Amino acid sequence: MSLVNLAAQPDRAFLITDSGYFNPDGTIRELATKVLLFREQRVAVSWTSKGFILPQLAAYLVQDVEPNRLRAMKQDDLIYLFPIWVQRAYERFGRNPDQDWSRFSLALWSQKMGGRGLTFSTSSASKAGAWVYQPAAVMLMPLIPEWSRDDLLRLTDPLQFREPEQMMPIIERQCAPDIWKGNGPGGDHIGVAGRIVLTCLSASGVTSEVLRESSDRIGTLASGLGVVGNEISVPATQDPPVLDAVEMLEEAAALFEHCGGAQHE
Amino acid sequence: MAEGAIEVASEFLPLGVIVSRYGTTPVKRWIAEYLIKEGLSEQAATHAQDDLDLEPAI
Repeated sequence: MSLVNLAAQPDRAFLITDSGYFNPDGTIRELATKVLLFREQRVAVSWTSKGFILPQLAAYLVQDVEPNRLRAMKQDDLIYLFPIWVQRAYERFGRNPDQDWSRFSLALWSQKMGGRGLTFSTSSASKAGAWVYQPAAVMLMPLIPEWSRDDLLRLTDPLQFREPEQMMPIIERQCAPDIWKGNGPGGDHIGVAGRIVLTCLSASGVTSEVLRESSDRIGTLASGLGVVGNEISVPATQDPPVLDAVEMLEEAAALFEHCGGAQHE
Repeated sequence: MAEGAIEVASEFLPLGVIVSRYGTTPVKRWIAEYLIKEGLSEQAATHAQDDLDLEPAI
């Protein structure tokens, strides 16, 4: 589990994510981006997962999807194909979608429909069934028990969260240790780690912003609320806030071409 | 790309190059390590050859 908040508003949709990937014992396995961006289609995807779906999904896309074809794809086609890609990645790498479940959240914007949110699970135990989209105006993961449905619905007010700081009280509550209690082996320690990133899609394009840094390190437990403000020591190398899908495919394609060309010289 | 070129490119793909050239940020390094672990080069060759005869499956 991780932090993924989604809100769809009439004029935009956004995701707020952390960057912690956890080992079963609760220590941090990786600090890496959790937003896969399809920039041309104005779709941003994040996920929570038991296990590490990102590298397997990336490996599937690198091997099976042409960058130019992805670049030219329409938004509706991408939305249709994305769960199929995830399903194929599960099959290719022998993962059980019920046991090693993932839940994906898609924030998207289009001229015709404005901001929208969609979610699907790989697990057949989900209400909608596996691989089936549900519309989601608002999603908070993890849930905050003291928030009512009315509180959640108010999040769709386009006047809410004009400033990212307005979301911070929710995020701070999500970081609290009691929210994470009982989340699997070592779950008392699995929580929110690394950067908190806001990714926003609207008529003006895609923006991403780091809302908060943390002092979390790989191999240690998540610090939860241990955000230390100005005293952070930022790791030497960090991801961009989002992973651009087309760039990822183009770089992989260029690498293979380069390696092959070098062998012919 | 001709079928022979694909085979050459993948057979001689130096694994360390993937990490050093592709994995320049944490998420790319992780993906690169995973691709190496899963034997990307062999699978990539298979799919590239398939695409010479078949429409891509997406």
